[in-house]
Amino acid sequence: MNSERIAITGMGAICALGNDVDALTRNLIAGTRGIKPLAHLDLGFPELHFGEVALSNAELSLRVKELLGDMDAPLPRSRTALLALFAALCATRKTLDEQDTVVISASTVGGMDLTERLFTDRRAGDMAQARDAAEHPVGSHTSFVADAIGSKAMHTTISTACSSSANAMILGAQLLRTGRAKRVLAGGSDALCRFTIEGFMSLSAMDTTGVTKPFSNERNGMNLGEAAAYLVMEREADALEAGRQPLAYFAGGANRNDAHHQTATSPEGKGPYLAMHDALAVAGLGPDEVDHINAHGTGTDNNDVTELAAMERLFGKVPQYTTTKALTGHTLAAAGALEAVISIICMREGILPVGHATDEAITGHTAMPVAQTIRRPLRNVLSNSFGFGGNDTAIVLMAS
Amino acid sequence: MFIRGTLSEDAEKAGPLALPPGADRRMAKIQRATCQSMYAALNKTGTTSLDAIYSATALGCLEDTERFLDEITGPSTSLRSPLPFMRSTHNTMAGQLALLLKVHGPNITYSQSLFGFHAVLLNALLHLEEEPSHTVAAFAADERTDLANALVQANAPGTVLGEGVASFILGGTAKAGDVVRITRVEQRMITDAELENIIEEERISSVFFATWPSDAMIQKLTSNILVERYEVATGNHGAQTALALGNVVDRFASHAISDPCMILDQVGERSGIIVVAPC
Repeated sequence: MNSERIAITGMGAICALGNDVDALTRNLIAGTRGIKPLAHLDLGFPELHFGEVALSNAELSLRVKELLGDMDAPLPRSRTALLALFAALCATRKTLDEQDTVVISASTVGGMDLTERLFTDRRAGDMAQARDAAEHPVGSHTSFVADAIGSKAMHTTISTACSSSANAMILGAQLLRTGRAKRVLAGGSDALCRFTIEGFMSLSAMDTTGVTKPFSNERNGMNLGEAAAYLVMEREADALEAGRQPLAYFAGGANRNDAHHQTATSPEGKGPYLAMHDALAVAGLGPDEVDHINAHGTGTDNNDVTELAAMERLFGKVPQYTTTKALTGHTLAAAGALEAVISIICMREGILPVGHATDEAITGHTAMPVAQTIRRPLRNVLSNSFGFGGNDTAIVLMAS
Repeated sequence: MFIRGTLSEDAEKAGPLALPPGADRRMAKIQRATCQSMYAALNKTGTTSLDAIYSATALGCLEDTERFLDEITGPSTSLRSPLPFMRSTHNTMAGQLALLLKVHGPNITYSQSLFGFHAVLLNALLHLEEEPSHTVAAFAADERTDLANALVQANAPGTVLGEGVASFILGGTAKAGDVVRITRVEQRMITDAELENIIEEERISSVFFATWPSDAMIQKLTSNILVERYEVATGNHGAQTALALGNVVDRFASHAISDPCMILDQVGERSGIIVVAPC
């Protein structure tokens, strides 16, 4: 494996904070929150707040068609795949020949929105919509993306719950470093659906009082969100030779397992600690070289206290950290890639956004999240993504 | 990358590792079958610790997913058991194994129809190239439910949904008991000319299909190569390639074949290949 740097030369994202990277950037700088009651999706739950993409499926389809132009690609019907296509086409911008681009995507729900409809119809004795099941597999959206960008290379989907798309970026970097890929499109997509909302409700993990309050003593759960985010990764020399300026570098990452419980993290945050520690080792950085942490920070009782314990153990004095899930909602499999895009925006704009401001650290701890927007240069950013199955991932991004 | 071989035929029944009593009591079918398959592989190969777990599943934990979908589309209630939701994620099996075996290393689950297992082997290969002394587990698992089978048949008449699990223990360096190594894993659009080149380069003498190949493909390969379809008695499912690999390993172990062979899958315009060679 060579030590050549992995450059990020393109990004596309759609989430509650904006339908593209420019809007996302503007809203991060303005300190906008994207979490509110549902306005575009007919899922019920009027009492809950979500990070909803401000487009209906019909509007999303139109946007995707515009991006496809005269290309005769079949349009998916699931919201996860529509979001994925939109963000992926924005990231590649159709300016490159993507024949050799490896596509590594991520999802937890895939076409679950269609499957839910199928189950409702079936309950009413109607099996006419069996074709809705065709988009159920989580890998279905990845095939749509690979076909739409014209990739003839490998495409695959990682499904490790909420760390999925961070893991997609790690695999992408490994394939590039070993010469097994020329270019990689890595990211993930998850749409809001009843399955995950009811699921996290059954776990009492949802904030039922309004907007989530991560890393505070008042925290009482998460807001779910939806998003798709993709990053174009390539070897630095290839990018420069082709005249593509790196937006940032992927310096390293590590996936480790907590091996403690199916859904809860160990009290000392062993998995999160190992992931952060080993990601820095891969990146060749010491803890004192991290300028900022985009924490996993879901706002649940268990995550925030264990993530903080792991950060304090690794760093001693924890770098300025924030959780942008308080702005976008928790976008599950898309979160790792979305927060990588957000971290790169933060590095390029020299800004630390506020997630949730608190004036009191979690009892027994001292480090508090960023409480007001800070403007300062950022060189190295660590981004955490943890998921069910004890799946813990940390990635390190470096300014260009 | 070497597939760890059988050290003792009896070890499977009475190896050092056993599922803790009651651990599989509340597991769904796919989870129980995966645990049993992986523990058998660990015991057969005398493996007591792992550095990583890589897994593939095309449709995931269908039983738990359907159970939770039935609940949420049924009568409204404020009290739902979180268990089926918690166990509905595709990485449930890999997570359960990490928990049972205390594996803190990488734990990745892939899902891409038949091709998830190719990504599993590729990730294992990347891991073992970097850490040749490590031992990693690889498996593919898929389960069948009546509803999923009915939906598959409605969308693709004549297709029967099957189920299966196959587990492997892989190492970066050769060890006693090993009989085969994996020399190539790819998944992409492969032209006929490229396929011919790979067959020549790797000195392939037989090609196994986990799924039924097109007549055109059979005609292309029959000149001087043995072509065989791996028979899956239980129908089509995402773990077929892994089961085909298990079958090939068994044939090498029993000396039924001794030359390099290829497992070839085709889904639409894309192909997946695994090249298996003797140690």
